This record gives sequence, structure tokens and C-alpha cells, in this order.
Amino acid sequence: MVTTIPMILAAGPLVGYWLGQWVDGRFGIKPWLTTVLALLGLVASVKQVVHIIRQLINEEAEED
Amino acid sequence: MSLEVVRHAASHATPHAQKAQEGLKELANWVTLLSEKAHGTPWVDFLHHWENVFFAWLVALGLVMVGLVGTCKRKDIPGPFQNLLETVVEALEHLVMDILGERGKKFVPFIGTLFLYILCQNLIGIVPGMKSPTSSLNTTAALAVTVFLYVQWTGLRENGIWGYIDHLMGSPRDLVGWLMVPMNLPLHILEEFIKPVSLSLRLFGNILGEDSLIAAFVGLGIAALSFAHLPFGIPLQFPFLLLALLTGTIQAVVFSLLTTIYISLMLPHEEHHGEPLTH
Repeated sequence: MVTTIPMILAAGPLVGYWLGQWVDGRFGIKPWLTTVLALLGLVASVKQVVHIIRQLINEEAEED
Repeated sequence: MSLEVVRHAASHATPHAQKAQEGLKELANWVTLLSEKAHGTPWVDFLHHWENVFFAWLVALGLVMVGLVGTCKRKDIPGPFQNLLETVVEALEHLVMDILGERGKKFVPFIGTLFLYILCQNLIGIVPGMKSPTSSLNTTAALAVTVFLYVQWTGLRENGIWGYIDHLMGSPRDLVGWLMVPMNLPLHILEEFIKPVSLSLRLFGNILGEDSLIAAFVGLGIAALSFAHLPFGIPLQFPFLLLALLTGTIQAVVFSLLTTIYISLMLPHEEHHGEPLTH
């Protein structure tokens, strides 16, 4: 399960970048949203990793 | 300046990734061989073009057959085959219900099917003449999009439309919570999109890597005996076939486990099995 963490951390900024590119392209405000969403993507991926680790710790604690 | 560098690097990343994927060779399957023998025949070209879909359907058909044979003559005292199927179903039930609790029972058919489908798709690549459909990003992306839609649908069904929006806003209950909404809402929406991307990339990368490794060692084994002009090589790939058995199973478990966790994160907080989570 731990091997999934780097992939989530990489996917966050990537999704933010793609979404930002798309929205920036539509509204012609390059590169602001791309930058903001790529950073937000990184924060979101860290948050998701924390959720997953917490869930797994809870599960292990219940097993013990 | 630094932003320009990042944009430049990102614009080159996709073609490089495509080139890298083209450079990775997998073992020939019987569709590839057929395509080389009968190139230009419309149905062979069609089959070659859609080979991942073809092998995915083959796996699905196999699972349906096993399900039909296993359930058509059920007995109170099960035979060996029924016993095997019941053990698998019980193990899957445990996997899901350990995380979701008693409420997880209704998610077992979806997650269980997903597990068996991915497991068989991963392992079929080890059989000579076959190909793992999961070594294509198209297959894994389709699976991840299915999970994404199912998780969103579960969120809407279990929380209701306002509960779902409340969840996306980070469940604000006080002034600080409401002030955090402009930050929490985009974060949660991004998080939902990260899930299918990370799920699909991880499965695709692992299975493609594993199949390419096997192909590389088959090539090395043949090259090692090339001086003798023999029609076979040293089976150097054998340890990696065993490794593929292990990684293929692990990847199927991880995909199903993550799906279960994503569903659990979408369920109403007080219903979580064990300590409630703050989102």
C-alpha cells in the first residue's frame, strides 16, 4: 500500500497542471490558474496521503 | 523564468513518455503473431488494433464462465470447486468489511469483481501467447474512471446532494470552517480527480514494467545461446515470472483496497468503522 504514496504525490500536481491549462486556455489568463492549481494539487495529494495512512493505521489498530 | 522552464519541461514530457512506452517491448502474443502472418487481412488488423480490448473480454468471459459453472449446481455440502469459490468470496468479503464494517457488504460485489477482473488481467500476461490488458493505459484508465464514477455515485446516494456538497466543502460547522470553504472546496475537487489518475498510472506502470522485464530477459536468454543456433534460449525470465505472480496479485489487492478506502472516505463520517475521520 505504501508504494501508492509516490504515485498520489505525483498525480496531484499533474492533475492541477492539466486542469489549470484547460481553464487558463478557456479564459485566456495563462499561467495563473495553472500555477495555483498545480500547487493546490500538491497540497491535495498530501492531504489524500494523510487520509490513506490514517485509515490504514485505524484498521491496524482495530486488528491488534 | 522558472515557470517557463517548468512549462517547457511539461510540454516535452508527454512525447518523451510516449517514446519511452514505444521503446518498451512486451512478449509477442498470438494476435501479434497472427498479424505478422496475415498482415492486411481486415479482421486480423482489427483484432491487432483492439488486442487489449480482446484480451480484456477474454478474461471477462472466463470469469463469467467460472461464475456460471460454480453457481449452477450449488450444494449444501460443497464440492472442491464450490469450496474454492466460496473461500475466494469470503476472503473478498473480509477485505472490504474490515475497512467498511457491516455497511461494506453491499460494496463487496463491485470491489470483488474489480479485484478478480484485475487479478486475471494481470496474470494472463504470464501465460505464453497471451497479453496483460492492464499493461495498456487505456484499460487501467477505464477501470479507474469506473471507480471514480462509482465513488461519486456512492457519495451522492449515501449523503444526498446537500450532504455531498457539504462533504466537498469540508463539512463546515463553525465560522472558521466556513472561512476555509474557498480553500477546502477546490482541494476536495482536485482530490477526487487525483484518485483515478494515481490508480490508473500505478497499475499501468507496474504491469507494463513487469511485462517488459520478462520480455527483456527472454531476449537475453535467446541471445546467450545464439552462438549455438538453437531454436530456444536459457529461461532467464523464470524468476521474474514468479515475481510477476506476486506483483500482479499485489497490484490487484492495492487497487481494490484503495477503492474500498475511497468509498469509505465518501461515506457519512459517523458511519465509519472505528475512529471517525476528519475530512
